[in-house]
Amino acid sequence: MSPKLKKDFVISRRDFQNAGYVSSTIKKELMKRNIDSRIVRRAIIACFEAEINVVIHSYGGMCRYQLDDEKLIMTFADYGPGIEDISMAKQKGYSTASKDAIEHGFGAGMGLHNIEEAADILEIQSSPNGTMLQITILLRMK
Amino acid sequence: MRVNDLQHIEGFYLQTKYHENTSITGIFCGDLLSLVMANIKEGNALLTVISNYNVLAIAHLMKIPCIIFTTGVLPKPELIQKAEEEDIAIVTTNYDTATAVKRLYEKVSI
Repeated sequence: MSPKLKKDFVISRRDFQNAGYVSSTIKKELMKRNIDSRIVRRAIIACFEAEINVVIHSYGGMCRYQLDDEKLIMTFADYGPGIEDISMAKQKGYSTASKDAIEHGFGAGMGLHNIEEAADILEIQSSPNGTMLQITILLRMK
Repeated sequence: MRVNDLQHIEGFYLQTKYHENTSITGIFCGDLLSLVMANIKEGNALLTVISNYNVLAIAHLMKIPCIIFTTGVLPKPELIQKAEEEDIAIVTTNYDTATAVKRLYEKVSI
């Protein structure tokens, strides 16, 4: 049994340079725990996309991840402006990203779709005051 | 294929040190990073025109040993240095992506 772990991170608006930091931390932790590499890959994809979404779309936010032997739960919460139409946003190619995001290689309209594909459980709540995304990845060792 | 094979092809320039023996299992082309992340396989070289830290972060996370910047895109020295620290080979070429792929398939076995 590995110890339970809980960590919090701040994600700043438009901070492209540090996007990927949470994913990298989670990757290290999962590899240390000898988790199946296909599951690690799914966790990384979901986490990176969610980080980028906060960077691109929100006024800033945070991420908390909780890890135990059975599951990884990543919660992303931001301060808005919210997702207007969640079912549209989940569709491949639907994008509301800025020119800035596109210049950074994002904004393809794949983010939420990739998260949904990668996650075992995905919960989204959104209002103009903010969005809360909870991604659960069920873990299995190699 | 190894990085070493790339730098012997005319028009491809290795920008990082000590990566000659890094092996590459295949190539993947893409500029939309979400698609890259969802589809690239471990060990592939990435051909792209996007040169920023996010590309590097994805390469690091996805175990991509080599990034080939095409179409004359030249990454900043800081990015090359960071790639070196993370053991990722950086190659640049003036060929556009399609021509670069054609050259690669002509010259090396992938």
